[in-house]
Amino acid sequence: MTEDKFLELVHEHKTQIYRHAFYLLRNREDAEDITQETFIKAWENRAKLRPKTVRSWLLKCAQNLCFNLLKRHKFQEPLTEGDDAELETLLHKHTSRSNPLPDEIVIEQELKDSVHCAIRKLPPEMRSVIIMRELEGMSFKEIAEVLEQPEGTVKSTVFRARKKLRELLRPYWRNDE
Amino acid sequence: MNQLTSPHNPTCTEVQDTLEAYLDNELDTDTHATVAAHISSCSTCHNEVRLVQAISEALHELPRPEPPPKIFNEISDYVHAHPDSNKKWMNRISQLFTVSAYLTSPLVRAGALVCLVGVVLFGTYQYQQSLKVQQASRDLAYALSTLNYAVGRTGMVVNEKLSDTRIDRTSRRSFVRIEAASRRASKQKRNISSALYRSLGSLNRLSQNDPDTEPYQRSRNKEENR
Repeated sequence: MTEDKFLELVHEHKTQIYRHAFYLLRNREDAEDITQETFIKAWENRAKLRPKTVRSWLLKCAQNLCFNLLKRHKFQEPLTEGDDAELETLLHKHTSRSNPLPDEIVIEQELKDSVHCAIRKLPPEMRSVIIMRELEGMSFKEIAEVLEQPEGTVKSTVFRARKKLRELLRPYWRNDE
Repeated sequence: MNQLTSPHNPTCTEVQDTLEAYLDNELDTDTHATVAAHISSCSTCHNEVRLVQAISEALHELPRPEPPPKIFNEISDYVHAHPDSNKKWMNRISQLFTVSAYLTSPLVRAGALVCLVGVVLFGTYQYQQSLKVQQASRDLAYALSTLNYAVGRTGMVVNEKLSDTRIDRTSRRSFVRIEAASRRASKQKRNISSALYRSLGSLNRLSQNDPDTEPYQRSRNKEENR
C-alpha cells in the first residue's frame, strides 16, 4: 500500500474512528490519541490490510486500544452531570439549534440529554456495540465482523445494552398517557 | 431471539424483555404478532415501547463530533517519516538504473569496460607478487635456521674434540690455528646471518609493508642476544 493510498484511507475512516473512541472514552484528547495510534498501527501492519476488511480492522484496533486505556485508568464514572464538559458542550450546540419547544418535547429533550450520561454507565463492551449500532448505523453483520463474534451473539448484546439503557433512563421518562 | 414462555398469553415482563427485538423485527412471525397484540391492549407495555423508541431517537440524534485537522496532519507526517522499507530498496535499485542510464554512449561503455578489466588485471598481478614475496620470505627463514643449526653443531663438535685432545707443544700450534679458524668462521657466520636477516627484513617490509612485524623482530632480538 502506497503512502497516498493509505492517506486516502485515513481521510475516509478517521471520522468514524474518532467518534467511536470519543464515545467510548468520552474525552477529546484521549480520542485523538487513540485515533492517531490506530492509524499508526494500521500503517505498520499495512501488509495485512485488505480493502474489504479495513474498516473492521480499524474499528477493532481502536476498540482494543480504548479498552486497554479504560482498564489502565479503571474508567468507572458515576452517573452524574457536569464531568463530561466536552460532550455537554457538543450536546448543547446540537440541541440549541431548535426553537423553544412545547412541554412534551421538552420532556423528550431531557431524555436525550440524559442518554449520553446513561451510555457512560454501560459496560465498555455494551457501550461499543450501542455506538456501532445506533450512532454509526452499522448492520449486525458488520458489528459481528468487528467483534469477531457470531451475528446472534451481537444481536443479543445489542438488545441487552438497549434494555440496560432503558432501565437507566426510565426514571427520566414520564408517562403522559 | 427472545421467545415467550406462554405464546398466547404473555406477561408484561416477557413482552418488555422482547421489545428491542420486536422493534428491530428480529422476532419470528408468531411471536411478533403476539407481542404486537399485547402492546396494543396494554398501556404499560405501550408506554415502554414509546420509551424504547425515544431512546433510539435520542441515540440517533446524539452529536457527531468531528476530528480536528491536526490528527490527519500528524498521521501524514508519521507516514512520510516512516516510508515503506520495500520502497527504500526499490529506490536504491531505481537509482542504480538511473546511474547506468548515463552509460548510453558506446565510447563511455568501452572506456568503463577497459578500466574495469585493467583494475582486475592489476589486482591479480599484485596479489601474485605478494604471494611470491611471502614464499621467498618463508624459504629464506628456513635456510637461515638450517645454517644456524649447522654452525652451532660444528662449534660443539670442535669443542668436544679439542677437550679430548691432549695438548702438548706440538699440538698447541695446531690448536691455536684451529681456534683462529673457528673465530674467523664464527665471524663469517655472523656476517652471513646479519646479511640474511637484513634480506629477511626487506622481504617482510615488501610483503607486509611493516618492518617491525613480530616474527622479524623476534628473530632479530634472538640474533642480537646470541
